[in-house]
Amino acid sequence: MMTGRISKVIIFSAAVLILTGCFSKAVPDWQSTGFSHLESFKKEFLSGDDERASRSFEKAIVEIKKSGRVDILAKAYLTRCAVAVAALEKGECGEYLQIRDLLQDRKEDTYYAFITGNRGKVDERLLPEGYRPFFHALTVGSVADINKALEAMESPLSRVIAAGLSIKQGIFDETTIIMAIDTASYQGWKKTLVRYLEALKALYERNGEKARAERVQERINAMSLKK
Amino acid sequence: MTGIVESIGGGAISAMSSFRSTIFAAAVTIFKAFNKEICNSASFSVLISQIYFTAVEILPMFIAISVLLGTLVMGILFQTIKEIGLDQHLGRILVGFAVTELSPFVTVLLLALRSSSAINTEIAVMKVNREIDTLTAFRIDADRYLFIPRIVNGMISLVLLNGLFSIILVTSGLIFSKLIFGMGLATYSQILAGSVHLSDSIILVAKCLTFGFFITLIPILSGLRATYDVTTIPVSVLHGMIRVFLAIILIEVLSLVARFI
Amino acid sequence: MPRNIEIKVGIFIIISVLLIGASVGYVAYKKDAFSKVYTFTFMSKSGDGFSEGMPLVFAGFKIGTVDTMALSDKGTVLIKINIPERHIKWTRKSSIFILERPLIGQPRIVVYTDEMDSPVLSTDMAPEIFHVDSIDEAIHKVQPLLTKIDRILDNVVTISSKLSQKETLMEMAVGDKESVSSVNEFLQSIDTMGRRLDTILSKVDTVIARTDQGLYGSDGLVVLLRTVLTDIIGKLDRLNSVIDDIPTVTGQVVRSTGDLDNLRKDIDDTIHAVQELLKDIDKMIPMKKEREINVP
Repeated sequence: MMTGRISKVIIFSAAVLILTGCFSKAVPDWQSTGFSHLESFKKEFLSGDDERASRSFEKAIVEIKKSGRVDILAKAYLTRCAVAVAALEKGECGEYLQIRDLLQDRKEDTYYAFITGNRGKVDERLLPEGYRPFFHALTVGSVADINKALEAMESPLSRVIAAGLSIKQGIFDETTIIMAIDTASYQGWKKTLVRYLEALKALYERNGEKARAERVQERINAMSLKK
Repeated sequence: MTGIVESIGGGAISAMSSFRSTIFAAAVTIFKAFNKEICNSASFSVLISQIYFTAVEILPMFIAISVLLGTLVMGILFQTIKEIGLDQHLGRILVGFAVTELSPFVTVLLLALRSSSAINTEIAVMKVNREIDTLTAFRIDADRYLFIPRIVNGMISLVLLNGLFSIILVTSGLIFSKLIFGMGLATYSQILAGSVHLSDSIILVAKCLTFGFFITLIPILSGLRATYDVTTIPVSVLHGMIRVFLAIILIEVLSLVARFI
Repeated sequence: MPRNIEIKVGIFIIISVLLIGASVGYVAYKKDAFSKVYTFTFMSKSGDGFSEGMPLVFAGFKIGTVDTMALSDKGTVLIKINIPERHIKWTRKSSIFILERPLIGQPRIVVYTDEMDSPVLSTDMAPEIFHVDSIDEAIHKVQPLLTKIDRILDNVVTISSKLSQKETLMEMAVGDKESVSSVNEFLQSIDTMGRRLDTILSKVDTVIARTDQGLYGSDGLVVLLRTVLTDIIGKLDRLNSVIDDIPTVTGQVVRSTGDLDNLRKDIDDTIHAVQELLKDIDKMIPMKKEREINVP
């Protein structure tokens, strides 16, 4: 029974590998490993597994440094910075600033300006396409447009980053936070979820809606950040 | 010994000069055929009667031979294809061999046997009876009334009869493909269409026109070579027919070369 | 000239011309001479094996012909293929195009279209044509990977059997409920993984029979296989950290048994092997764009 299954697995894997192996050009080792570590970092950081997240990030940096590509290194640093914005934390962008002079492309600088809230230095055309409608709405200051842009975003992480930015800049409403909460909840990003719940609670408190704020607090308590 | 060498040399020279004079006459005829004056009701009526004698009169026999030969050849061909397992090349064999090679060859042979010999004899007899001289004396252009309608008839008849022969061959092919391979009309026509190429079709039509042209031109030239002696008539027909067959072989070889280049 | 001769000749010519014309027209229709033909541009890394007039085949039927080939400025080969209007529906955005050069017979370009909902290929796209030279070569390439998979499966079996024996021993020795529950979780997960493997295996026959079966989509088999292997590696990683903690809890008692050291070694080997395999699969997943490092 087991042997049958094993042989089937082998045949299957061989078929998959034959088919895929013949079709594609190999991605370099550093890139595929670096990518995996960076993906793990995002997930771990947003979920609240900070220790693992920092280990994954270090591993990703080690891999990327193997290639000597400053542009990709910059992207990794900016990723950490952006993910912190998503979790409503203060972004650590110091490492990016250390290497920014080595970059030739202005794209990274625009992204940096975008996630640090320096709207004046953002060149909308150089922003990743998914953020452009959001940025436009942010510049205009229309909360309704911001919410519409958030809803249209495909990437859940981008949506939460954008929500984080609008909250940091004070251009948001209940819907903005709820959209971020739903996204984080769907993705299982516990830390991020709790941060937005806290933000929602703060909003209710500011608005004097005590009962609703308490209900949010109960929800936070029920989950508790600790294991 | 010298005699043998001399006769070989003489034969070669006469063959060359005959070939040269045929080509020259062909060029002159083509030139004249494009002359506007050639199109008048008299030459048209000669053309009609020629087509009648060359193509319409032999039609029942031609169709009978086509059906008989077509059925036999296609039956044997398909059976052999099946036995040696060349099923996937059926279309190529059908079009490449049966339609583009066998069909014009059989058609030209049938027409040459019947019409070339008739034209050769007719012209030779006219020459012996001084009818051609009479035409010249009355300043009637023999090319216009006698030769060009016959040549145009040869070309038209060959193309049309070849078309009919090919259709009969392909239809027998359909029957045998059903009987031997159990193939339906859709598959058969798909295979056939897949194997037909425009270049092959152009060569086929050009070959038929060339065949038709030479199997009528050569007998005319040969008939004109007869003297005023009645005994030269059979000699002229004999020489004419040999030249017609040589011309058929030569055209066939050239068309094959053209197809496989 | 008698009038009936003219009539007979007229009838002969008309019938012959009609018959020949109809036959030629029918063949031309079958050859798609009357339908509108679209020219699509395809891309290939090499022009090897392509030739003008080569057929484009869908499900065994010829649906197009290679028209011209040219070398682009980027060094890739651009192949122009003519496809009649009525066959365009078989070429979709999600279609896979493969150059097949069988050992016997004519080479051809084969279209595999799985998702008929995907938009129809448009002439301004330039999909890539992949090469599959011969099965032999592919098998040769994959042989070392097969050995790897074999080793991994052997190790998984060894670990699971050892763990099932050691469970109580560990519980006694460790006295750490959390660690033991991790081990248990792993043992249970072997079962879950088994079930997931079965789901994949149910697709095996289809994959082997039809190479186009959902390999690359988000639910594609490559992704599924990757997920299962990631799962295995995750569970093994947790198990590893549990075993890391054991000596600190139990001191010399457990170490002296030697068994756990062996178990640890097995797990290390397995993790390493699975990681290597994952790397191979990662490299092969034809979604290069997704593997690119980019800002979120």
